[in-house]
Amino acid sequence: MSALKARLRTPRGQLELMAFTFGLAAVMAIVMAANRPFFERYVREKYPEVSAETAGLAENLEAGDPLPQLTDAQVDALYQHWMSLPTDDAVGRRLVELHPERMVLRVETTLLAGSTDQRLRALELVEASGDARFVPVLQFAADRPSPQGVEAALSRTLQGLASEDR
Amino acid sequence: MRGLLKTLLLVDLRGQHYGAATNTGAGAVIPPLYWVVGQFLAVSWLLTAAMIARVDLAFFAATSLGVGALLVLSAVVVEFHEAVLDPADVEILGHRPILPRTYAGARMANLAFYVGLMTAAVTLFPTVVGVAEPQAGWLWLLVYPLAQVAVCAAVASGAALAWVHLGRGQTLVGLRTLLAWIQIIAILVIFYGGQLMLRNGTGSVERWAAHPPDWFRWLPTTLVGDWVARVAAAPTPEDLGLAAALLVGALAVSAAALVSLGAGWSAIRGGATTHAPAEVDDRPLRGTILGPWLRRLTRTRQEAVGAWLVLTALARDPELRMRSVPALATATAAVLLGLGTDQYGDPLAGLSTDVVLPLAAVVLLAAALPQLAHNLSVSRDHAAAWLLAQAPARDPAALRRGARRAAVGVVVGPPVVILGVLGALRWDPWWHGLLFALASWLVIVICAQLSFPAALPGLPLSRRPRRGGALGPVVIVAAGVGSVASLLVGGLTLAAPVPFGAPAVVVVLAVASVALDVAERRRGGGR
Repeated sequence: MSALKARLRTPRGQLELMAFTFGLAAVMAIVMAANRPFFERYVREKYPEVSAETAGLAENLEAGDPLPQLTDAQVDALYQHWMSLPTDDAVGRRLVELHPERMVLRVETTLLAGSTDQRLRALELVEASGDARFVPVLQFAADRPSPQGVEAALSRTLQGLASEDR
Repeated sequence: MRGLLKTLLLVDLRGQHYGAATNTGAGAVIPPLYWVVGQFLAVSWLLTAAMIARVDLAFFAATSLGVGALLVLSAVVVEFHEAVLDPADVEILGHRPILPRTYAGARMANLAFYVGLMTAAVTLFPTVVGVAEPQAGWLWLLVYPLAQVAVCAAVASGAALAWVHLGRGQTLVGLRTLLAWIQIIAILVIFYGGQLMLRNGTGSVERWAAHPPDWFRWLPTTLVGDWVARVAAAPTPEDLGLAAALLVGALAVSAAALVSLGAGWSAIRGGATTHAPAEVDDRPLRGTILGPWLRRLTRTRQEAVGAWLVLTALARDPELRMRSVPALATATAAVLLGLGTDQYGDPLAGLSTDVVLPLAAVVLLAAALPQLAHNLSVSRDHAAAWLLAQAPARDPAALRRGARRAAVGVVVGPPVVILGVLGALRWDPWWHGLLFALASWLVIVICAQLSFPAALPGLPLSRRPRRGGALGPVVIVAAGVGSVASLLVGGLTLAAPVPFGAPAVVVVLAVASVALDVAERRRGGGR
């Protein structure tokens, strides 16, 4: 141990210590680069528990009942309801009809920061609505890196919207 | 020139061991420079880990380049400026027939050694991790390091130019203070931004990265980052022209710095005063050692001497202020972040995510204490410490206690008062703010009692400043003190919902502080 300390006290020892640290950092960097899926697992949106009020609003949407004017927070809660629970396509369709700009914003955020499952579920909302206003957002997402399995779904949804548009 | 460069590097590397900066005595094994490189590696690692799989390649490149350049620039300005042009060289080398270009070349190579180490530290992780990003090709391995080296060479040479032309007057001291603050706030933004990315789950940071504001788009490092991402994906002939422009620009700034250094050497050898030692305000401090303020702040005359010395040094020496005060910027940034994002909740009202930032502010204030103590152990006028060492003092440790009381009272006290006032204005009931400030103050005092003996083991202001010392091994003590502070404020928050829980914790903290003080007095201490 004392020999090691004595060596580290020399200029050459200091340079060797630096080189060792850089070598260790290089190994860490290679491990990180080789394990991108590990980091992808932590990319996801977090949603709170669905409240009774939100569940009631979702039922009204599904039944086609008239709704009061919804706040952004209520619209977000309904979107989170769509993302968290099995929900009829009618809910998604009406949600987009009533609040298209908010829904475009939420879908774009999910395509940027959601997990694979969340991104696929957001694309289901787009497909259910068939709304062409989602096209720029989908194209923007298609130009960026996506988790495995999302790219194909993005391309399919974009083609679907294009064919509906025609 | 080779001999001069070898001498400069050897003096620097051997100088790391004298323990002044490491605070661990002559037997210190790890040099401060190593800690600087280690910190840069850690920041780069954290930044890369926060961005992997979350942002596109252009943003990844732009942010990595920008943060790397900022860290290297601030380190050169704050810590390694003497590698550029050291006025003390005149005394040793002035009589030798050294040509200006030889001196300039050796000094630039000396600076390049440090800048090279730091650039390597901020380049390694983005280079290796970036090549695995889906948008990057193998060219990334060539283009990204090239861009980072060019950017860092340009900013370091720019700093050298500024150093030669501005000298060491108040302008540069102000600039260094600003850069030190920027450096700390940048690290904080990375730390909290990474936390936000990993924890908040709303995608707000990812949205910001996908649609950055205009000021970010027009930063030079963003433009270079866009170019790097484009070339790494699919290079075009026009990109080669931009690469040439980047390299020529970096070389031009480096050449200008080289020429200016030669001129600077001629000037200081000819007796120019532009690069005289830092200007100090030598006016006497108002009041005396036995004045009413110091008597209230301290308990004995020897403590008052320690307090007076520290307050005088802080008032007179801009470098000491510059080294000491930025450590408190982290707490300031946490408070501003809490107020700006409406997350400055009442910690005494129970646990929630909104109370993290006021608690973090206290922890960061406590974690700044070891660096403050370390900085109070060094001084440009360290040679005068023999007066203290020879003084017939019965209790030499009292000087350190006085320094601690002055530093905690005058430097850390006002931020704690501000925490209390903000709490009283924002929280319901208002007295929660005052109780929180009182508890925070006691936590700070306890952490100071724990950290000052470790970070300031000898006489105040008695050690010579060393390169990298301010960014050096005190981080380990700071981490320990930060953990203790986290434990204490966590206990306060957990106890708060219980009836009389918070006042009980305050009483326990007060008793612990008194007990530590009594134990320190009984233990005494050497010089």
